[in-house]
Amino acid sequence: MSRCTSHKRFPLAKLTTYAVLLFYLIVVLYPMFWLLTTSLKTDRDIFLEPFKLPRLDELQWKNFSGAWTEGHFGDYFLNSVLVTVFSVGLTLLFASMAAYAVARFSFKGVRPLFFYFLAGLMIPLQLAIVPLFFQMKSLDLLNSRLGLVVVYVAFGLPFAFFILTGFFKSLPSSLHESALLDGASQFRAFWSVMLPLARPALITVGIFSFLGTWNEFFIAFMFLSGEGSQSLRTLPLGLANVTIVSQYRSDWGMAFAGLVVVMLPTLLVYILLQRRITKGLTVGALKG
Amino acid sequence: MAEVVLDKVTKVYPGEITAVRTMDLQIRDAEFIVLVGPSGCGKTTVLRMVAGLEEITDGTVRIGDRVVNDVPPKNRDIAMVFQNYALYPHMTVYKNMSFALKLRRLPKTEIEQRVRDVAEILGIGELLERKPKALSGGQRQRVAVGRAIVRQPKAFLFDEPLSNLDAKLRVEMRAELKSLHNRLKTTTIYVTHDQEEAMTLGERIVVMKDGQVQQVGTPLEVYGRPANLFVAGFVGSPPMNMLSGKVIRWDQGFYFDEGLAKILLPERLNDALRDHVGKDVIMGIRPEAMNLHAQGRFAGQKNILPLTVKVIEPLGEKMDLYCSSENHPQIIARVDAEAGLEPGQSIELHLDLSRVHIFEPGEPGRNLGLT
Amino acid sequence: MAIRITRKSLIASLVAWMVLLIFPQAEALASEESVQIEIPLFEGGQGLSFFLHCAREYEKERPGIRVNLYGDPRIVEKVKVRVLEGSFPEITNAELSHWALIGEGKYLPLDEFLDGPNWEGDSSWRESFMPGSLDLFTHEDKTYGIPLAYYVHTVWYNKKMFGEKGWKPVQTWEQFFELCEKIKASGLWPLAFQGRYHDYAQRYIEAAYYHLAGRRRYYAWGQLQPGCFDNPEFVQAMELVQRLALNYFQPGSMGMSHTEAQLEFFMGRTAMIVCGSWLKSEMLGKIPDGFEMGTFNFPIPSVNTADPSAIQIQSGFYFVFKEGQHPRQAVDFLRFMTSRRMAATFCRERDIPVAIKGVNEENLSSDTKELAAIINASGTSYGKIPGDSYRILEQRLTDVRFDLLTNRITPQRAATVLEKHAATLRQENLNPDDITVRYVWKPVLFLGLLAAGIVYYLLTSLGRFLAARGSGRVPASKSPLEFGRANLALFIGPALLLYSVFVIVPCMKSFAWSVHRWNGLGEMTYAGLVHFGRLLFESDYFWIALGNNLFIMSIIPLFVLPFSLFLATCISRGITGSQLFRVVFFFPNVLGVVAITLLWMHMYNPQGGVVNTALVGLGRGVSGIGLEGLGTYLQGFASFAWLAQDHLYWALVPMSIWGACGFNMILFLAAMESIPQSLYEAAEIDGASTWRQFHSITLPLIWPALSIAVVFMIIGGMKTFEVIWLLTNQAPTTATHVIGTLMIRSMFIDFKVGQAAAIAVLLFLMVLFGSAVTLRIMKRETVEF
Repeated sequence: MSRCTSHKRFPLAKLTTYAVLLFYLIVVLYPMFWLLTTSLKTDRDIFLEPFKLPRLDELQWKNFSGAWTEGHFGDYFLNSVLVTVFSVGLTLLFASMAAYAVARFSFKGVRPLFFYFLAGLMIPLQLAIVPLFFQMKSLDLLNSRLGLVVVYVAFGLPFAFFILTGFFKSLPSSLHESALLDGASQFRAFWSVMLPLARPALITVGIFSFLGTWNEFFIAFMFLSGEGSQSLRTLPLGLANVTIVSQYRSDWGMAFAGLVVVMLPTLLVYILLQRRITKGLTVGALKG
Repeated sequence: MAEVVLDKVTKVYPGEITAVRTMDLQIRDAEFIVLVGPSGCGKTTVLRMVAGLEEITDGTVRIGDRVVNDVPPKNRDIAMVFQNYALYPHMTVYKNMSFALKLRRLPKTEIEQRVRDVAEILGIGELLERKPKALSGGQRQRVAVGRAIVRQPKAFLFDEPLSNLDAKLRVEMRAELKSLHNRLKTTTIYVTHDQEEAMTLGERIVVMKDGQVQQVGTPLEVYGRPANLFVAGFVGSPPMNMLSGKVIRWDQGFYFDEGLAKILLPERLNDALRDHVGKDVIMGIRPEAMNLHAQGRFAGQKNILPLTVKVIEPLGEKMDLYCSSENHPQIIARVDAEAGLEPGQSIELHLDLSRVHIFEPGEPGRNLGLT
Repeated sequence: MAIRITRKSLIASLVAWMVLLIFPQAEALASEESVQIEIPLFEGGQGLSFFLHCAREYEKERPGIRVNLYGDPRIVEKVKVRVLEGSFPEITNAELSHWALIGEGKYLPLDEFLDGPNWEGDSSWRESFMPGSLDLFTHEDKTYGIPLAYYVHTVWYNKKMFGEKGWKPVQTWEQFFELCEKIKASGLWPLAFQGRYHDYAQRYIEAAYYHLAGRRRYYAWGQLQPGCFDNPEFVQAMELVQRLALNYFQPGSMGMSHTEAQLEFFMGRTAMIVCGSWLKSEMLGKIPDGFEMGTFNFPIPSVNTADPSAIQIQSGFYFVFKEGQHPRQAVDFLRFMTSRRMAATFCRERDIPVAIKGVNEENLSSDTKELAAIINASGTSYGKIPGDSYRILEQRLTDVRFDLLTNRITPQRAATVLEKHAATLRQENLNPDDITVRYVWKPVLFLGLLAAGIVYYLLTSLGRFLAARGSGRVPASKSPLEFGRANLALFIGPALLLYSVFVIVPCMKSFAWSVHRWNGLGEMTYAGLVHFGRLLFESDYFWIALGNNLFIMSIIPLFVLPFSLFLATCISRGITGSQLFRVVFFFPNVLGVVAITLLWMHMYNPQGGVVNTALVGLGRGVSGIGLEGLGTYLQGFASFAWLAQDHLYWALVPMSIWGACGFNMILFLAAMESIPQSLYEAAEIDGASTWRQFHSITLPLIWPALSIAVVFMIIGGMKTFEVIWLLTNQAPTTATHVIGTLMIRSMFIDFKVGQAAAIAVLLFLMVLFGSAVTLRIMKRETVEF
């Protein structure tokens, strides 16, 4: 399906288009390929011959096993999974409940409440971080994954709330009313009838939240610095650490292997779900 | 001088799909010609090839005195009105109409003059500062037409412009388009699937099916002397009745034997029928060419078709009779309205033999009376 | 029904299991039965293995004591946080501001223990150390720091290479320059240099100045006394170092990390390198077999005012926190660690000289024997300027030093600048509330813009608000059914609570704290608008950081957006494989900022990184087809230091394009694909060329998507943190800070919490301004088809 029809007459235009696209394709893929091959080389080779491909019988799998155990990437991975799953889940739950109430019911103070949550969209993390740090310290939530989850949820609420209110507003009330007539409580009506209908919006928000939390560095960095926190680190934090460490130890192989460990799962998940993801992202962004 | 000539124009899509087969057509200057046919017959493809929006696989298209096969659309000096109007949603009506003129770097005063004149003609003078989304369907359509007129092109191309309007508006716009054409006298190629529209608007009609021209002629010609079964059945509403039967020789004449009755065929068909004696043919007769009583044109003994009335549809002055018999599941007759007729009644329909057609059965179903 | 129940309970138990995993972290379970001492250590060149071994051995010696010893190259940040928190470990050797902590009485004076016996019991602990080694952290007759390794800075050389070429170690600067010339003439580079941490150059500077100006004036730096910088000796010291850097440092070294530079030395690409005595230990495993190294002391000027045998040492000292749980036990551990047996183990293992007597001779290898000789022969030591002010000046020093090394500034100018900064600091210390106004136009413009933006926004909002008032719209979908108080609480409660407590409350506090002065440990005092005044009117680091943010917000989108648009246009024209392109181009966005930054950090390696090699290869290819000029230019990137201070921000451009184009492209594609084809056809017939069609149809109709992309980039630019933080190895300089990193530095490194809050407030205002106004300006009526 051609958009600009004139290119039919100019094969040259088509050729240049292809050339540019292919070029950029290589630009995108090559660093990852390089990363992959480098992670399987010895430290010496990494430094001396950065572009030589490792021989198939010389693949340094120990870089990976080292990263997983000594480099604690196994722990980091688990931490990231736990923190992300809980954060996203709780954000979706709390935000959808609040959004539902605000979108569909009129009660005293509903409009101010709406704008109250919306204000959060404008608030950059940095504004809150300084007092938040000390607050978490006094609540004894520093150096804990629970603390991370709490903060991630709190900061993820405004965006989720915003998208979900818009969505809930658009649902017909007839379904809700018939559920109530059938004898459901308000919560039951919400949980069993309206929430399932909100699935597209939930997916959109879920994707944004997931990407944001999984790759989050700043808060994790601030909150997971203290005693015994090594094993609590999330992947981005661990990755940054390992890279720095590897500079001191010249443990390049492990650093690269760690990078691969971080990148591969997200890439795989993306490839499998990419249709959903891009659709969700564009719908969400364009709507906003 | 803007005649449009198609010479052996062919369009084949990748995958060996032939949309238009070797089409020849000569459109005279200032003529309003309509391409009509069912969906997929290739009429829109032809239009788009003339516009330059589709590549011509084979053959040539001439606009005026030059071959335009390789000329890009913007240089062909044609204007097109799209089915969905294709108005630029972010521009005002004025800007929509002046866009092409601006591209040709006409002086501002002239642009202004032209746009206002055309807006006046179309009655959209007050809408010039509005954006398309603030207009009704009919208004949008006018703007689309206006956009084309303002260009003063060699030819107008219309791609089913009325199909998005409701019935009443459609009738109104038809009349307007016709009067516009009289006024502007520009060559117009109009595509539609609605045969009624074709009949009312076209000076000549091109009936198409499966990428091939079935017949080219004036509305009268196409209606009264259809070239084949398809044209006969396509044009006219309610459609022509088709009866299958045989040609027999009897009593110094050629008769059509439809099983029960024998109908005398007019002498003008004798030469054509000579080679078809004993063969299967199809007789076509329009609902209006039938009558309940043997009066005037319908007089005679050898033109009777016995049928049973199934449904009576009163239409005011006339009524439609839906009849059937053993050999013919449905025959429609449009007769003067009269009382006393009941469903289930047996009647005899008198045929106007001067308006009877004999076709070869099957494809293409040539009208044997036209040689 | 049965199946549903089982699935539900499965999920429930899964959730419960996960909760159990998380929650125990909130409880600190520490068995109080055994005594535990906690020792966070800096993990650097000397590695951690010895210390862990030492910890285990100590536990054998003292059953019932647990030693929690751990280490990290960035341990200093963790320990700083602990100090801020008030939960002190027992021992540390992290690079804290020792003098500040000494001043506040946080370290334990160790004299009573030093006067007591050493571990073996055959001498006093004090006596077991090399003479002069304890001097560095002795203040007012109280000693606070205990050394183990003797980290001496010297010039290391490739013995084998020297032997083959007939070169010899030298003593004076003139000789040193001659040597360098000889090396250069032979086709090799004299000195490798750890450019990314260019305080390695400080070693040269201090060595030169110490010998030129004498011990007393050297230590005068600590008090920032007038004239301590702007004097002929300092200028001369700067000259020497600049001459060395510009002529004899390996090219590209400004962009190398210390291990990269050190590797250059070991791979034989340079003849010498200046490093501390941990050099070999740090590079263990990377040193080629048969490599022989030797060392000699820094060159001295021919006119010498100080002890020619003086050695420059660095802190590798261990401190005990007074407020740790078990300080006395900690001291005992230190005693054990500095016993001859342990010291010998260390010495042997790491091949680093120790500060304990009688150990070096037998335990060092041939590589470090020369070092031991230098140490033994030395009568005095110098290094590590005491005094907090000097530490604060350090950031300035870094900038000046960088300019010096890259020939942007003359030695004289360097001296003058430093002198001026020292004066300002002195002034600041005397009158903390005083602000010297150095900028007028910038803050006025800035504040004016902010105010104008806010006014504009409020006015337009008011307009809309009033207009909407009249319509009295009732939301059609609002249920008239009573919701009930209990339900309200249930539905809104959790979100409201979390959001208010963890977002709104801290934000409010930030505003309050920005007008107070607090160092996180002591009292909070009201300070009015002094922080804002200082940031806006006096400091240059704020404006530089803001400039960097502006660069990111404006220059980078200039590259990213058109290219994304271009890509989207290419794909939307309908080509085979468009699905593949879409999927792949989005890859980078999935990886996250951290991963992308780190990947590119590797790729930007000056020697043999992907980027430079690609450019050089391209250059060769281009030369091959005849474009000589372009070819040579490209090949000039051979050792280009992308991550050096002055190129860092331009290095962000390719990285941002790589990382951000995918998302923008998808956004634009979605918008483009919602434009009906017939519009383009109509335009084609109207006479519009491809470019005209793009300009008159595509662009206006994807405007909403464009404005969203712009806003994202602007807000993102304002909030930049991770990228800069990681690329500068978590230590940005004045010139490379962005507002985000500046804030972190204020809080965690300078302990200026009030200032950090002030920066946060300013950042917030800028984000608000940026997004609200941009959206307003770019918003046109949404166009429907």
